[in-house]
Amino acid sequence: MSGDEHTKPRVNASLLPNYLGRQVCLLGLAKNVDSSGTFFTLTTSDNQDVRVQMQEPLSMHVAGLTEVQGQVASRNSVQCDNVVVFSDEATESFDMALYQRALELTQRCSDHYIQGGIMED
Amino acid sequence: MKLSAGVILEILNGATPEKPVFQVINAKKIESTNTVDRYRLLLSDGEYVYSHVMLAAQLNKIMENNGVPNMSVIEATRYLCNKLQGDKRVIILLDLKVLASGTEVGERLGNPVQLNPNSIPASAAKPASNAGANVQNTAVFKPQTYNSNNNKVMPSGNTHLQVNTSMQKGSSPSTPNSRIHSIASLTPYQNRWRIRARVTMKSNIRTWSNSKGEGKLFNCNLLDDSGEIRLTAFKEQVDKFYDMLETNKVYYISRCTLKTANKQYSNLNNDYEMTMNPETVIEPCNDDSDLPTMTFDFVKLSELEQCKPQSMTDIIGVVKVCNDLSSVIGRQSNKEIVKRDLQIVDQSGLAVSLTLWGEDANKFDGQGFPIVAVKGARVSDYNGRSLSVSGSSQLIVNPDIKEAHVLRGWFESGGRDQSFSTYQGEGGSSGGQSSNWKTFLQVKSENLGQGEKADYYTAKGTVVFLKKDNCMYQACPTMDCNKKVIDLGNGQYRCEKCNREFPNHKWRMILSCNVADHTDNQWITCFQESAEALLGVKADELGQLRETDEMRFDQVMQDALFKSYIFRMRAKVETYNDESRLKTVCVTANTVNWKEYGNQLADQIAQLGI
Repeated sequence: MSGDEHTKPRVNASLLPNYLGRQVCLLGLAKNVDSSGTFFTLTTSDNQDVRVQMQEPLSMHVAGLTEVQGQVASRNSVQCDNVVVFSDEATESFDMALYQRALELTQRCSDHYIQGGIMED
Repeated sequence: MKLSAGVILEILNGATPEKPVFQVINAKKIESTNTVDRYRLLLSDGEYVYSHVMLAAQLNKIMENNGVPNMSVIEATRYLCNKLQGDKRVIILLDLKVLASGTEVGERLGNPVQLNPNSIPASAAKPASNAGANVQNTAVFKPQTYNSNNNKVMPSGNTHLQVNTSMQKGSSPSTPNSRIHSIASLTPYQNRWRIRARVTMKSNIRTWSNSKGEGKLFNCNLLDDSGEIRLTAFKEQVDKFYDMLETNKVYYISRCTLKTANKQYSNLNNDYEMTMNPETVIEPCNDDSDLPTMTFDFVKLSELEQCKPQSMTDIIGVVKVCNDLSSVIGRQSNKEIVKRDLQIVDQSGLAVSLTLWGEDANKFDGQGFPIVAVKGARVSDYNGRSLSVSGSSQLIVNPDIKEAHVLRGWFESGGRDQSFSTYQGEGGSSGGQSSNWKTFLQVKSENLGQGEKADYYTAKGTVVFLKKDNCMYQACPTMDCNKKVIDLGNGQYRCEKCNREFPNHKWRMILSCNVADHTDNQWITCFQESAEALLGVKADELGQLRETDEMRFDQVMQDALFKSYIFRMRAKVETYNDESRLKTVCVTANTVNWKEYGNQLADQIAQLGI
């Protein structure tokens, strides 16, 4: 499906094996930023860790609630295209369990949660 | 002229010799303000003189005509002996014949000794032959002295043996010895009846205290195969019969006062109800095989919605939650009333609150998820639907009936882990369960607001249009008076309601707006607080803007668009000039708590089972 190239489905760490080589969007809590700034760890809503590989060293402070868009490189790593770091307040108030529920729903009911695809007239 | 020597002692000891002959030593009129005057006699049988002798009131005229002068010798054709409190015994003469007038006798016959009413010696003579009947009579006055021997002579079916005939005859017509009446046949216009009925409900004893005095009462429901009737006892009769009457047992009952039923307190299918009086006779009956037992017409908890508020219904459920005792202050009595709130569930997947009061609440043990059946639970529309064990309800814990066993089976095999929905109440804050969530399409398809009462619901909606015109008015500045004032043009504003003029006014909002969700849209009216919430500006401030800076006023209106809120709505069809239309008033508009709302949506999806 050509539409897949333009969509970045929201996934968690355990879903990565299904999306090898594809663009995804991961939301989680960032930690263990490498001193070189080329990779860090993202704990996603299923409480598993994903290694986020940067193409260029990070130019900003990455911590707390963070969204990563990129290509799935392996079962537990993504090649990052874009990073969004949310504020401390957002980190504080974010309901990760609810996000996990939502993710599960979008996976389970993919017919009702259509992401991308080709619009028909 | 021979007196029946020693007969007073016999009578006082329970015998009923026929036609004893006495001498009336003295008669004294006892005047009474609230009832009729009575005559008290000093009676001699030649051996003893007894002072606790009363003349039945219907014989008063004899005394008034001086028909029984002192020292007259009389024959007591009918009489009885009552035991009063403290074991005092009173002989009541019901009918008498004067054998010799006192004017002829002129003197006291024999040498009788005064009997001390407080220490009556046992009868020297052996009991008279008809003493057996007398046991019955004593029992009439002290029913608890009934023993199994008496019960055995009670007939079953429609035959009826003689009881309480001999001595009762005088004061009122006795029960005919014929047949048992059916409850359905009882009316206030007949007083000779006797029913055989099962007690299906017995209330606790309740007390009252008001300006007229205080007292106590209890009531019970009686059932036979023709129908049911409510029986209430007050004061003395409470003491007399409360312990004797037991739920589910069968009794012969006669001589109660019938009156039109007060349906406010009774849910029974009978136009009449009964009240006990001092004449009331209740006797246990051992043979109850042919009488119907308590019947239930259980309504599923999910069907309570169809029950009218304040109606009575039979329900059964498992006690899922048993709250601690709490108390409320009675609105009328100002007294503290203890209560206990339970949450009961059944197979229909609904949980409903059931409130127990007083003794029921005190005694209730919620351990181990008991099953409760309630005959005649009162349905209320508080919190959507809730139930209360009222005075005329009967609460049975873990009843041994089929429905209870089925319910237990369901509960143990998974019912306990099920999640239950609840009825949705009106008013209150939004959020959580009690909010009756609707989409705007549902509001229309379910015809909300078309009923007698206004419907309240909660909806998440987005403001898509606000009507600027007439969205606010100048109102009376008096606290709590929001009446529109008339601008007198001289800096004064007149309020017709307060009949006053003011140099100032306040601004009140009446904002029409259109809100939409993914299904449909709805015109709603927002008053002060909710309008201020939507606009983010106080009404007085907005009023200022409207008059001084229309640009900024318009901007406020513009900025308020396309924001989402959790709306609490009140929907009711109103009719103006024969035209009916749904009027929806926004009760509150709260900003969306996304976490709460998200979880709620997820719950809803989960309930879809997809």
